[in-house]
Amino acid sequence: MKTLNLNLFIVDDDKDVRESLAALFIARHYRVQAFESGESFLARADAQSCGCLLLDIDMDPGMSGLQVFDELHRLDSPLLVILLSGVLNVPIATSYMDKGAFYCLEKGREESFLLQRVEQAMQRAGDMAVKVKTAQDAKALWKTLTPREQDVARLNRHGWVNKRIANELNIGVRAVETHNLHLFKKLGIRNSTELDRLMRESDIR
Amino acid sequence: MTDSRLTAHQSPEHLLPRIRRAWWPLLLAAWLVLMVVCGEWSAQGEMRNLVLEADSNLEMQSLSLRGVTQRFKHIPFTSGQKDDIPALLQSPAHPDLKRQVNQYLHALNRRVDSQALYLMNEGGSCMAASNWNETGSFVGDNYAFRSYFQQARSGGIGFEYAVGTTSCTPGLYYASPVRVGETMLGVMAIKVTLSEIEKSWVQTTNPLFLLDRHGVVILSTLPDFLYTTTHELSAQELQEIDASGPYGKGKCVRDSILKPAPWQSRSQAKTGYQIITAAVNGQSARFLVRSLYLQEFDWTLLATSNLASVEHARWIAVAIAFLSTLACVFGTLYWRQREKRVADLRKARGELEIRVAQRTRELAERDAFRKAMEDALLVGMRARDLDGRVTYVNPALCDITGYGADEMLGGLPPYIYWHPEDIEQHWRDNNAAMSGPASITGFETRFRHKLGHDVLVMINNAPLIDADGQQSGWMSSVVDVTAQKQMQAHQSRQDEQLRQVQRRAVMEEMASSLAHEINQPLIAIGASNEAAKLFAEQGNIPMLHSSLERIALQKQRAANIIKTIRDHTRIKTQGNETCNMNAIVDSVATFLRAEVRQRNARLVIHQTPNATEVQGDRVLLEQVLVNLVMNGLQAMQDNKVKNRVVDVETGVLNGVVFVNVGDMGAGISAEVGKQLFKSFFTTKVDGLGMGLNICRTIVENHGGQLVFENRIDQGVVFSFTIPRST
Repeated sequence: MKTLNLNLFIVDDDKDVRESLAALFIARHYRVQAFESGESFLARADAQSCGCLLLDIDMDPGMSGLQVFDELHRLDSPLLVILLSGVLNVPIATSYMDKGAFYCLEKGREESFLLQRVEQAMQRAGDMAVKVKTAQDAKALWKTLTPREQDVARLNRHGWVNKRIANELNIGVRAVETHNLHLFKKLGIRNSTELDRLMRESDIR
Repeated sequence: MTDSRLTAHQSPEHLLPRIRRAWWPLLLAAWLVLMVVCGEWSAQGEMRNLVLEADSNLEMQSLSLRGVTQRFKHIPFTSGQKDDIPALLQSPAHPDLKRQVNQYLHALNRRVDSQALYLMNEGGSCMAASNWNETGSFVGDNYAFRSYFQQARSGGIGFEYAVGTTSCTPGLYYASPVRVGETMLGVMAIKVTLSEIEKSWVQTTNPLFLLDRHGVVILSTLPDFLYTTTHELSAQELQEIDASGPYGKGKCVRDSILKPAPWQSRSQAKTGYQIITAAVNGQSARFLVRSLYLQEFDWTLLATSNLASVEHARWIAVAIAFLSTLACVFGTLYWRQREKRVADLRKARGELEIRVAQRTRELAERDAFRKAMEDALLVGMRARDLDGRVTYVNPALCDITGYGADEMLGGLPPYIYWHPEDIEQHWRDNNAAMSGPASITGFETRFRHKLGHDVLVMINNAPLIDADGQQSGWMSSVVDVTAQKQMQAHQSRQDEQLRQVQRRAVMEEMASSLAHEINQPLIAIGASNEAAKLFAEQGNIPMLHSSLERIALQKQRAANIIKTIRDHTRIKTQGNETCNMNAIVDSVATFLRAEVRQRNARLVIHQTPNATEVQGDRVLLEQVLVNLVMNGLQAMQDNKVKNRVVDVETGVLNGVVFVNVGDMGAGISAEVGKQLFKSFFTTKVDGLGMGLNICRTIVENHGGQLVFENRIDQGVVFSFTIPRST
């Protein structure tokens, strides 16, 4: 599944490597963006976009790949990062895998291996992009609810009966029923179970 | 002690007690008195002996006299009892009767062995006699004057000693009256000579005298004394003697008759004897006289003893006293001198003993010190004679070997503590030490402790020189270096590990940067290659070209990286000097000596005498040799000790200097041999696989070759050649 809105970023200070990889993935119809340093990547690329990042660890001068990774982590970026290194230091690789790096690869490995990993990453990124899109849609719908409807929704997701919600909010049962009707319609759902899933998946509180 | 003192001590004056001059005469007088007393004492003793002798002589002679006289005393009476006797007296003229009586008397006289037996009438005329028919016959003579006749006539037994008037021989007369009833008819008499007694007296050396009642000598061993008187005779006695004539009458009177006896008498009433001086055989002599009064005869018997023996005894005693006192004095002198000498000797000996004791103590202290030192030594000590026999071991050696001194002493090679696996080496070391120059030599070797474990020791041998300067054996010190060696081995292992780690770190770093550099073009090439394939599929020719171009560039880039690294790390021939390969071998042998010893191996070197000069870098060539020898040693570390030998041989062949390094290891299999010179190939646990590679590079840089070949029997030989310098 090649989704055009998934990005493949390449960050490598070695021009030859960077261009070769870019050529390879362009030939494979990825949306490729290549950067010569971590700084320019962070400045110009959308860290919140979904996709894969091939990040060279050993960059000199400027930020190293690991610093870039840490920064992305801090930004809570959904980008899946494949770390590349001329010589792979196993303990560092392990620690970054633990931190959430998708994979660590030595540059000397066969190309098919790299391609395989990038394929897997892009697939995962595609899944993530769908989820992100759903959540973004749900959040947009949520914002169309009135504050009172949002209050009712927050209580309703726990499966509370209308009367209890009415007592809690100190409003009439009839009003609760009306709010429910409206918010179900706005959110495009039918019952409180779906409401709960939507809120959970969209991280609405 | 000086000589003068010695002389003074030897002179007698100084040996005598120090006596004041005034005392000397007194001492001398005392000495004389002593001698006199001794002589007197001896003389008295001898005198007593003489008295006893004289007394016994008296006793014996008196017995003899009595025996003789008693025999004849009663013969006149008994012979007068015959009937013919009174008959003849009654008829004196009867011729037959007279003849019969004469014959009777003659026979009887012969029987009793008297001198004469005769019969007298009462007038004193001899009527019949035993010697009636002989010359000097008594018959017809008248003996009325004789006192024995007068005694018998008066009725008793007549007795007299007198000299016969007829025969002129002295004799003892016994007479007895002849009676018929109460009528006295005549007297019967017998004369007995005392010649028997006189004969026996002649044999005695000491004179004997018999005195009659007048004190006249009637019998004597000395004829001169006969009939001399021992004392003045009274007038009555002279008259009586004149009448009786007992000492001879007429022709029978001797010249000496009644003259005083020719002796000077000195009576000693107190002592019971007299002393007389008389001439015997013309020589004057002094005699002791003892007397015995014989009552039945009214005689006195005198026995003498020559006082010469008394004087003799006295002088002998004096002489003995003199000699013995002299002997005492000289004995004392001698004894004192001897005492002095003994004292001197004792003193000298005492001094000597003190010196000896002192010396002994010094020696003992030194000995004790030496022994304490030897006992305290941690270094084992061993002495051997020239045959190699162990003559001494100290406790430290016992500790090192575990054997007692009694087990080691007297032992000859092979010694009990030799390591069984190193026997050959022990013999070599032993022979080298025993036959070597008399100087200190040292070597390391291995002992087998009695409990079975190995002991590494350092032995130093030094010649043992006796007091004459001759070598009498060897003294060896034995130091236990096991712990030291173990520590050294441990240390060198640690060093080696550290070196390994460091080398690894460097290698890793190098490999890492190399990988880093080389992986860039590699990934670029890989990616471009994949891209090119895709572009080719997609018919995107420009992009395909671009990718292929990139591949070529990246290949070049990789090549450049490798070239750069090689340029940086290439082992270049640093120096270019003339090196002697033999010297290089010697240098390496010295460098590796400790390593070889630690591995209990041996390095055997055969050098060619030919010129082995090559052009090159001495240090690098040494490095090659070190590497090859070390490889050999490592290949043999599981071998038995005697099979741990590395041979190094140099030679020249066809203008090329070659060096062969052979070991006795397991050899190199064909499989291993194929990869032997590849980088990073190793059969060692912690090897890098670089050594032989480097060696080959160095040798090739010197224009030579490095090859190897398995030995037929055991091990492998590495050979490298370097062109000989021209």
